[in-house]
Amino acid sequence: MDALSFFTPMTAVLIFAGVTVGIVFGAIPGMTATMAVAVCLPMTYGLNIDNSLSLLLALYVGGISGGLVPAILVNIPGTPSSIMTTMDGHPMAKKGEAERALKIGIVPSLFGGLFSATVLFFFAPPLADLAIKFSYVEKFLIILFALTIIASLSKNLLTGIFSGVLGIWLSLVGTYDINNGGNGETRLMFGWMEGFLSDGFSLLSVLIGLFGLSVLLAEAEKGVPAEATSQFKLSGAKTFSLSVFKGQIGNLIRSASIGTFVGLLPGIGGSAASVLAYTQQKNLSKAPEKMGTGVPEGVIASEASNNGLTGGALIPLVSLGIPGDSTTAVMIGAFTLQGLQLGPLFIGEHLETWDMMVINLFLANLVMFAIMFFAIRHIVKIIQVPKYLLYPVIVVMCTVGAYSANSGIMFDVWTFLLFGLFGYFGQKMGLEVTPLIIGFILGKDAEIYFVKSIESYGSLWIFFTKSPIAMALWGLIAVSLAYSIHNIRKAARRGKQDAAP
Amino acid sequence: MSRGPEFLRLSIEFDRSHLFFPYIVTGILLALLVLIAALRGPAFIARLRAGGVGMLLPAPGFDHVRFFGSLGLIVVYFVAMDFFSDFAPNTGLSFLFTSIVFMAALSLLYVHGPTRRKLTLIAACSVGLPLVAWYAFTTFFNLTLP
Amino acid sequence: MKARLLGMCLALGAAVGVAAGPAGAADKPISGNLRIVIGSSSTGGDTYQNAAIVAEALSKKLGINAKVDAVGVSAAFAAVTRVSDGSTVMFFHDQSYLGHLLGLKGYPDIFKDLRIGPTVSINPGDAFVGAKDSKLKTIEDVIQACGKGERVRVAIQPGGVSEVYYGALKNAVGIRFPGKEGNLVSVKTGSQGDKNQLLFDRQAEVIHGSVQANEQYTRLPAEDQKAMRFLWLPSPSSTISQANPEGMGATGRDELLKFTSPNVHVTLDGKADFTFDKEFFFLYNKKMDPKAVAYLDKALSDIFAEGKVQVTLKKAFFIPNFHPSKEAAVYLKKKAEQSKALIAATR
Repeated sequence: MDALSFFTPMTAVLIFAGVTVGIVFGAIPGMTATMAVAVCLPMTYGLNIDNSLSLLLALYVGGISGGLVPAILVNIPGTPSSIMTTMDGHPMAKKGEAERALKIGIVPSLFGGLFSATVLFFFAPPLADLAIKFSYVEKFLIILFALTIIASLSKNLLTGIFSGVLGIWLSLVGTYDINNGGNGETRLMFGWMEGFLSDGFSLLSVLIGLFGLSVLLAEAEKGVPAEATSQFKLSGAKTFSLSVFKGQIGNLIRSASIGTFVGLLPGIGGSAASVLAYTQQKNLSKAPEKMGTGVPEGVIASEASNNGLTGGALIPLVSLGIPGDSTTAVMIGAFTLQGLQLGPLFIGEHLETWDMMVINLFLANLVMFAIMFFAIRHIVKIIQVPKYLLYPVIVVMCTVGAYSANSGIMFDVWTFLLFGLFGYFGQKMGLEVTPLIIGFILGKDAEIYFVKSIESYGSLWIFFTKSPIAMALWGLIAVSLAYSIHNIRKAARRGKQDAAP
Repeated sequence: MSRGPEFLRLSIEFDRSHLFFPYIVTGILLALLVLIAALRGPAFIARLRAGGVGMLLPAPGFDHVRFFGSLGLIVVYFVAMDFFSDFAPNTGLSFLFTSIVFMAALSLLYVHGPTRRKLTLIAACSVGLPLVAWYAFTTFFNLTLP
Repeated sequence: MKARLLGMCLALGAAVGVAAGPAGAADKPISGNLRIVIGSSSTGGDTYQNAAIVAEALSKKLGINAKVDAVGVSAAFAAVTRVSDGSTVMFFHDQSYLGHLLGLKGYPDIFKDLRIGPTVSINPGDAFVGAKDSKLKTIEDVIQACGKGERVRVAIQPGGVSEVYYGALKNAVGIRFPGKEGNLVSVKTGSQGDKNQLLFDRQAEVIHGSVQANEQYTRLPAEDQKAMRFLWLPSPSSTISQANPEGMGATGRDELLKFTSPNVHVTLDGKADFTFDKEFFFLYNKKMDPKAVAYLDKALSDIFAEGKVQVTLKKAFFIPNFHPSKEAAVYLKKKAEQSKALIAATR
């Protein structure tokens, strides 16, 4: 059977359309790959399974990739997984290197996507067996590991950690969800708030409020100076060339692997991938103090890992029947409605569908690269749009995103405003937005796995003795903390030296 | 499996388990707050004494009209969007109309030295974008909009 | 200038809006867009799938645009309570009244505060599953083990259908071996992945799973850490026997029937067996126009009379189960009373 026999003109159209729509969803702040897949799911009812998957996988790849556009151009992450892209991508854009930053971003995106598709194809079943070695305890330690990263991302250690813990606290507001094994009780709020706050604050609203609206308010305070946009030149001193990837092969492979690994662990949100990859790069970088000021290696780490996630998240889906992230969770619906059952025997029983999925994933990544490569020179013009036109557009699109994030809830729109104000005033008082959002993303998972571990084992001892994996994770946490403390002290010493003469 | 040393043993009552982790996090948060106050507080108070309450007021050059105007417009936009959605539920028409008005108003608030050309641009943008967004999302993607 | 511009914007917008507005006929109680909110925030779960299948059929039948929104429990109740003109309806399953009976926050009394719509389908796939290499090979083994004083841990999701199954099993242990029901303990957890994981870690002897999600695991060789076996399907054999003969995956319908009452027994009162169908139904605003209620009843009964929707449902291993709203209300009320008694007995 020819593996390419499934390929028809229809497939090509679906992949092309899927990637394009996905990129648009990813690029609109507040809209994500998950939403792109969810809104297009009903369109697949009329298609056969091969065509359905072509469309959905293309949407997935496009949605994950599109997030870098607003992250680089306007400093608003298009999706939660592109938060780390803002760290170096936007400073590059400010230096007049927007086009270069976007081009640097899509190469590791392509690499991460192809890397994870390859891993998916060759190693899905053994990696699924690895994934089930991670129980509550190990998953909690992975999240703890990701949280230690807050230390190395902080501008000021104390306020950075405070911001991170505040993010965790905010994520816990609402109901202890029975769908996660909670008891359905509300906490950290007053009784009269139950009518609207039971579901807590929606991540997307918080994200675009903190990153989008607070910046708009800060600009409004300054009177939205008309000349401000002109500081963004379209082409700066440096133009894109592949030579920036010299010496970055290690970064590419490591970041893509981290993305794939995080993807393959069910129950650990995909956004953790780029956070982990970015900070590991910072810890191992030759010039860690430059990370965050607009260096390509930061963009490379973030983008390689968030596309590395895609293949990873499909591993537990096809070999355990359990989704690896929120987007693959939506895809389950497409399989069941087609009467196709996922689980440990899926690959063996549906070899053709399986081959087709992997080929689709490869093609979607290549198409994504081609579309982005040619579209970048047009996309980049967004930053030349005068602010009095651009800002209203951003608010309206963010509003659509906030409202649609949970299929039409007005409170999520208010959350967007609330966190815009919170971010605006908070930043005046030294609050750090990135640690806060990382804490917010990881907080709920940390709670579930921490509390459930104790419920199962009745002791904190288990966190240290559960398995060799747990002990290895403690080792990683220690090394990561040591590195960040070392880097912070080094930076402080350098700061003093600079100040002394 | 061993439960380890006595002092690490712990059990959580399910009915109260929703408070366990929030209490820990609240505790850490308060501890950090105390630490920050202890380390930064004295310097802050000293600065406050030196500079008086003046330093808490907005810096010179604070654009009151644009700042509070933006906030006000956003609040009115959200309230109106929610209010009008009851007249034509699930059609997104409320979103369409309120967005057109909101975008035009916010652009007019932000624009410096309006010229005919700028105003034409604003009009085109304020009508065009909500229309395209509304049409694409409700018709093509079947999204629910207010 | 500014005013003129604003006026221009409004006029233009209004013109377009009117042109594109819903062209609904006034004589139809429901036209244009119908929003179906579901009590689950997942678009991959069984509630969404059943709702989507029904929405698709309704759209075609009535020439409307029925759209499923996975907003989650509290937002769904809020939406259907707020909108009374029939443009928003809710779709959910037995959880909607069980949540209230179990005292969960955010669950109104659906029989008092809402109006019960028609039932549509059953998901017969809920199952209790154990590890293949465990010595507990049937649900009877589980009951006997508890009777002998061994502790058996069951992984369930708290506060819902899952908890009722667990309550029924506990009740059965108590009837068979009075005083021993304490040996059956629950491990409260969330997603299917977490429940499977508890079984892989041997932190639970039994988990609440489903035919759809766990069938392939039951076909793994016993030496595989992931291998499972079915112990009990709470749906009665009268329901399962309506499924397609192929059953699910490589496990045929007749094989599945072996795990249902009357082939296995989880007693309710010493005489009859406990059985439970997880049913999907509509919930309406209390004040929804009776004409609209009748209109939807009629549309659904026509759809089911045509028979196409049954094929779609069965293909996804759901059992068609249409009852117009009046019948459904009486039936569900009775079912809720029974569940209430069971919950009271095991608490």
